[in-house]
Amino acid sequence: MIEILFVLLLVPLALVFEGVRRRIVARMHNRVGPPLMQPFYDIAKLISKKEFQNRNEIFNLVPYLALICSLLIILIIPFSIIGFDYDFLVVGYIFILQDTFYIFGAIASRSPFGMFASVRELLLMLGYEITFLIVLALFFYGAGATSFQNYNAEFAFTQLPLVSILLLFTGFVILRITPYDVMAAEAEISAGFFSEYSGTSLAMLELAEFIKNFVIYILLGFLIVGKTYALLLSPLFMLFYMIMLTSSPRYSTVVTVKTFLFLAALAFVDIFFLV
Amino acid sequence: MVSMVLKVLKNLLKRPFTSEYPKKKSKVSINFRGVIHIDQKKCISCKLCEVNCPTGAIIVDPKKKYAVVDRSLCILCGLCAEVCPVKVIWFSNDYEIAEKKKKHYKKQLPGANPVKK
Amino acid sequence: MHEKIFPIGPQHPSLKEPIFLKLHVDGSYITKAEFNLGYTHRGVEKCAEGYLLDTALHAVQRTCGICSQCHSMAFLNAVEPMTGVQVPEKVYLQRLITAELERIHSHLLWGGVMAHEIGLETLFMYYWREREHILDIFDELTGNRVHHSPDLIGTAKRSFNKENLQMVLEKLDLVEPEIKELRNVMENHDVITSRFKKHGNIPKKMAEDLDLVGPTARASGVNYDVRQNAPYMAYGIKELKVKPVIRSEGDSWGRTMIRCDEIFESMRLVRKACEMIDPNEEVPKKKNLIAKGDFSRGRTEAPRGENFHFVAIENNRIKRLKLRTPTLANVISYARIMEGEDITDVPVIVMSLDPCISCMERVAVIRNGKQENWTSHELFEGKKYD
Repeated sequence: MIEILFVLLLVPLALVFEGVRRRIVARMHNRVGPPLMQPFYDIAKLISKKEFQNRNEIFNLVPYLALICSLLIILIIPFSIIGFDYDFLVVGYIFILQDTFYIFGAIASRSPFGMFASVRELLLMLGYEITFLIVLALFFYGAGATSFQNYNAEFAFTQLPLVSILLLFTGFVILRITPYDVMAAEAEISAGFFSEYSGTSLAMLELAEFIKNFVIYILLGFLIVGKTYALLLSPLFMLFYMIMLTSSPRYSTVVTVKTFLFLAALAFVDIFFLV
Repeated sequence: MVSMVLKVLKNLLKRPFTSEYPKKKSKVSINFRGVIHIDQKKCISCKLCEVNCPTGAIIVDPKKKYAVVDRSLCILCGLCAEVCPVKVIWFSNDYEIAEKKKKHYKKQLPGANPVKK
Repeated sequence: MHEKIFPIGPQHPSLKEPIFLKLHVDGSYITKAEFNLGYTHRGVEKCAEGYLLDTALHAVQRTCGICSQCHSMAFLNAVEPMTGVQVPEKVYLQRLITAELERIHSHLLWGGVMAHEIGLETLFMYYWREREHILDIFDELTGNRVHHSPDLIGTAKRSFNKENLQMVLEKLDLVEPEIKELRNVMENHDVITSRFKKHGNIPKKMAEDLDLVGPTARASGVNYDVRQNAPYMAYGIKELKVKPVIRSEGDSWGRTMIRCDEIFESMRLVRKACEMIDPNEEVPKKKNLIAKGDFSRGRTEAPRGENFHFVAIENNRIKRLKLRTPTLANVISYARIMEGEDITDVPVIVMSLDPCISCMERVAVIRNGKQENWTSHELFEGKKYD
């Protein structure tokens, strides 16, 4: 029972976090920005809107599946409510699963923009998902832990500097932050995966994204600076990514894919050095 | 890249350039052409404004003997104010000219012409 | 390989106005590009027919929301010689100030949109923040922020006084260092330059063959600027001679930088004109003028390139109006420069020509796959419609 309460509390927290993020970005743009409660208004408005009807079942299911993925991660990451052995691998797989759902939805929508987004995501997956999984495993190997519950390393970045940098790089893709966000490039492929969604479906997708982003910031803090300061320092990671978002345009697809293949190779090399 | 990061951080600490619009309204200069007003008491119904208006927004009412304006058609060019021989057409500084219903645009806004600089 | 069609437009986030780009792609590389126009035809030419001269002037200004003063000046270039009116120098200088400020405003707006295309929202906000100061100047000088309409045939609606000119100079001093900084930021940013350089190449030969105009042509090394080659109004004065910025790269980067540099050239002109203007002189009152002759032409250099107006007059009313906006000349090159590029670079290439679609749209009648040619007589009478 108490677990469900925790999750119910974390969802509004993720939305407020998103509101703060928008406000900070607005300040960097030198404007006032939206009110803190804007994500709530967005979701409420989207749910009240009429939805674009599509007979494709996969297309209609994907938003809910993506939301379930996000809720599953929130059960594990900040407070380890349903922690178990080797749950860090499960977290890695859930992230991959969520991206796979997006790809399914985008392909099922038959929109050329969605198609291009999924092709780009698939290309990038070769690089960043492998890097992400290896990096997760290396952090846990370094701490000698098997789950989020008994991960006790503090300031892991002093022992694993290269791995921490690799983790920060994968963060760009997972959070869709410039310069490595080709699959969400608004300028050429509209909203990418989400371009055909509307109404309640879009609200679910947005909610899934907000929760996922919130969890990622905490995960970064958790792995890099340790359990005790994770919640305190996760806004700093957010600030770092927002500075990158506001100060750099996106690289072209070729450069992005090449960079992440290189990072994947680096991660493999790292295994031999550390294990 | 470095210069851009520095610029972003500098702007983060600065006060925002924009303002929260409905709460705080921005100022416009006294020359600004906002809503069109016609002082109907002094109108001599010479029809010069009607002839010159590019969109046909102004029509001189044959019964009432003064010019009436449909503000949904007005493009705020200010030509009518130039050609008017008695200078009864003028523009106020009000820039909130949108109305909720189409028929509200036909409501006349009378008023004497305050002589601008 | 399997070829696909990747549609950009008529509605698309990277396009501010409707145009349909049909890209044949192989993987993510473009093998062939076609484009379709005609989604936003507004009929300005037909609308102006039968108008009085002053009325037509105010209608013509509404052709473009960004270069409205340049359209107005092109129309006046055509009509004023026909009426034989003596225009005082102050009016010319006032028009020059408005037009050059408009160029600054247009290039700032374009810079912002360009930054948005490559995914850098921040630069977009910074460029548009500076643009806001220029709009404030318009507000003060002419009365409207976007469609200024300060002109009447042979004169102006109001004369600029001392405070106005003071305000222009103050605002320019405020804006100039900031724009310089933004330009430096763009030049020293590796990611930005990697997106612009060597994409969308237009060699000098192609620019001359396709008759490109404006900054697009000047970025390919073509030395052509109407302000310099056929000076009109105040541009003929010795102190206000324009030195056009010319670059030789011919790629998106050249076109970007040329617009950044033109801002400073325009600022120099505005400052010079503000010095030369006599703040105490009043502009003449509006007169009723009668145009003699049948037709006339006018040209100006709009922010995007050469603006051409053809005006035919009958009984002091417009009989036929023909506008050729610079985008119509430039847009043709899309089909050629897209080939071989990546989809990622399409928005950059599209925006690097600074298209202004709504101003450009004209009617072309196509029946049974063939384009019909209409004579001017048929156009006046509208005969082929029957």
